[in-house]
Amino acid sequence: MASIQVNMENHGFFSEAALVVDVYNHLIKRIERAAISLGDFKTFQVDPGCYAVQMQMPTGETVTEQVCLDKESDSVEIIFKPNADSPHEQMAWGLITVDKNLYRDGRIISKQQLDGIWLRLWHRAHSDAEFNSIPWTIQIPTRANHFVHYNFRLDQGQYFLQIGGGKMAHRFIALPSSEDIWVLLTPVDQQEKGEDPVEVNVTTVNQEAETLLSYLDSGSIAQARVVEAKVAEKLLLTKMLDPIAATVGAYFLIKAGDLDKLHDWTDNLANWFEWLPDGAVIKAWHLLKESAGNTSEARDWLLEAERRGVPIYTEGVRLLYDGLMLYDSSAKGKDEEIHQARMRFQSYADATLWDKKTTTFFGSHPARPSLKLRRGLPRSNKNVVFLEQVNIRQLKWLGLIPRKKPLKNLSHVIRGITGVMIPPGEISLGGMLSNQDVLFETGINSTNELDQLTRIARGEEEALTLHQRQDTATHKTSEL
Amino acid sequence: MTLIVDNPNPNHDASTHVFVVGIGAYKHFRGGSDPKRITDVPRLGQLSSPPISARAFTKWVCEELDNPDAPLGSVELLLSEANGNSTYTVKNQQPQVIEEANSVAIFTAFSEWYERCNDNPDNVALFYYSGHGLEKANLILLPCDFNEVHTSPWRNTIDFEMTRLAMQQNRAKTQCYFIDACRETTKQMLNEYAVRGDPLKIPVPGQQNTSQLTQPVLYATSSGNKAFGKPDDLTFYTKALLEALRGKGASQQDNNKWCVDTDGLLKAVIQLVNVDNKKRKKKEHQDVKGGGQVGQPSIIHHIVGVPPVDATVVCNPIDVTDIATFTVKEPLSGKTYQRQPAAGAWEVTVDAGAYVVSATFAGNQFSSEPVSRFMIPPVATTKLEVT
Repeated sequence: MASIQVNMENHGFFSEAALVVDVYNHLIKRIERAAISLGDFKTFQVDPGCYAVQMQMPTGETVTEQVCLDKESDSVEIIFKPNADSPHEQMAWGLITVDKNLYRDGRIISKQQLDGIWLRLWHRAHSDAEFNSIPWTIQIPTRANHFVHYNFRLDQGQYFLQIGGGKMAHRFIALPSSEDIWVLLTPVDQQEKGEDPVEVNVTTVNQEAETLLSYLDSGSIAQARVVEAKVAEKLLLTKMLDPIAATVGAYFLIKAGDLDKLHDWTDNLANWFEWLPDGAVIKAWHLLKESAGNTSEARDWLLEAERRGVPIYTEGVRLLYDGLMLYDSSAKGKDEEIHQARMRFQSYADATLWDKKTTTFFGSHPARPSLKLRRGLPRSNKNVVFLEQVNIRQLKWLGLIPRKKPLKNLSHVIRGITGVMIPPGEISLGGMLSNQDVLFETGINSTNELDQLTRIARGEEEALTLHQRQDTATHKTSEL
Repeated sequence: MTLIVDNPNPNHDASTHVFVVGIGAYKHFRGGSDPKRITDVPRLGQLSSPPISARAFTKWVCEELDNPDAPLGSVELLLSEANGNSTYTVKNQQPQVIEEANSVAIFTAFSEWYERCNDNPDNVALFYYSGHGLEKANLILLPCDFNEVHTSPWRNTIDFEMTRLAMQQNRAKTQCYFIDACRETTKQMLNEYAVRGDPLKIPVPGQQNTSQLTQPVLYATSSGNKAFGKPDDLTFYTKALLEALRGKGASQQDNNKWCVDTDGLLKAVIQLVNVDNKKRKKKEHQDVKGGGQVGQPSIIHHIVGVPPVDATVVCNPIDVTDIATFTVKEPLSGKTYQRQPAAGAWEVTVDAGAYVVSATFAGNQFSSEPVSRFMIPPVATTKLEVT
């Protein structure tokens, strides 16, 4: 037979995502369907003839190549490059699971779109603990074309990324605890009034599971089944090592009604990882969906899930809320435990942004979701970092420069200059100066020190105490 | 209730049972028939597209739906239209008066439909709703008498998600939900109301028939967003839905027949709406979303002949597209489509098949190699390289 070899080129840092390829004959009948991992290839044996080979991206787009093979001995090679357009290898996953057009030319992004956006990490070790903001993971994120990419290594526990800004209502985004969590912040194209300036996408390094989630999200159900068939066994085998990937696999199997494949490992997921509310949700729905489902035990697992906290994935929030509603409405509110749990969880359900893959909800504290949208800076500057440019007011707010009185109105001194020192010891940071700008006594004596403060404000360098900074500044000044 | 189709089924054979609600006239919104009770909470108005869309969907069901494994069993239709006194005429039958889509009628008709669907596990249940929708945790569908009780406006509104959960108790293994409604959360909903709808049937834990259930939901838009339509015309979603059902969502089965199944339908509607989005302003874009239980793919409609494909042909570089004469020819049948030079990309509906696509230019000022192109539903774009 003739053969078509399909190569799935990889231009990113990961190599496990599996993309689905369909082969059609000239009668437009699909004769083959397979999932091919990035960096891998697959050979399809076919009769001589013409064929269309269609790659289905997890984001919903398709790429089609056509080939003709004249005789039995012919073989052709097709190369797909699903993530070749990324400006940086680290960000290539965005093209696979977020939006194929993410980095295309012609996107309209305003320069100020990312200004004033701030971030903060929250954590609690277990469900009985309090949530606390934690020091930012010092890192230099990958930046390209206004896209910002962070890496986190998060030990077991529950984590949220808090984000807010002048035009971005404060919200929390669940971060799976995993050795390698990637967060990609992308400015929205042609931002409209009232629209969030950035989108936040979270992924784990387990791209097979993430791809499955993206296929599901884009309505590519058939493709999700193919990927699931390829990766399910691996997800099962690695559940001890990667409960997050196992969680994603379990959500798919529940959604697909493929309960046989869940076996008894939903027990393990629920029992072994107390910090993971999703495990309890999955166990509850596994029980509910079994033909001889134990509804009493399912009820208990729903209560346990609610006790553990908000699930990491939106699918889990949906299932937990549905489950609590199911029991509460069926008992007409007379099952007090269920009713109270449902009432407590209602605030999460109300504040959830349901179109996100990882759980995202509005609020000013992870334990207090709220639909009273708050914008601007948070009440406390503790552990806050800024995404992009910082200005002098933000540095002052962060406590990186002393809170002294403004010196004078700048209008008679200078206009339209960024980052200038006038005279030494006074500085304006970021943006154009206007007549209304006020120059503060900053104590900043060099552009090096300014750069350093900017890095600190962006979480790229450890913050020094003011005393240390002044010492350093003095030292640098003397060097100059 | 208005059962406009009720085909006899003495042997309780598998059938397709359809429930259609289209609401454009809302009594207590601005411009409604009961101005005394009009309130600005939430700020919604009258709609013209939903009844038109519901009628178009009903017409397709009555006249085109073809599923030999589950032939059309019944169609329940409720409409709320600006002129009131709605009637519907099933082909070759007398006109029938259609009941208004108020809360009582919807709850009553749903319970009848539920029982019909429950009659046989191989039944196919189709649920179509077009009208106002709001979302806060769950999607709430608004009957035409929304806010009848001024002090309790959410009374008798429909909690769609809980209704879908209750339908998991139904024996019908294939259920499709087409929800052509906005999913916005209004400011008033955020601040002022304990927003809850009622399920059309109360779900009971442990009674779910879920292991073999295919229960996809096709939402017209993503959570928190609006759905759109041109006034006095089909909504964008229903237009795409009907195109997908008429073949653009079809795939060829092992027996070489073209069929629309639950997987292909969702994917096709998403793709068709996405193509349509590109022709509209960003604020009118809508993002069709899937939901529910995906189960195994289930065939809901058989296509007669070959399905259509929305083909787009452009040149690279793009600026010579306007002066190209395009030809799309199927070598086997000789079937040919052609466009003389005209502004913009060429958009043409062709039968699915293997074609040769070519471009010629007056005076041979440019040249382009013809390319072989398989037109696979729902959409196919061909970019011809021009030198």
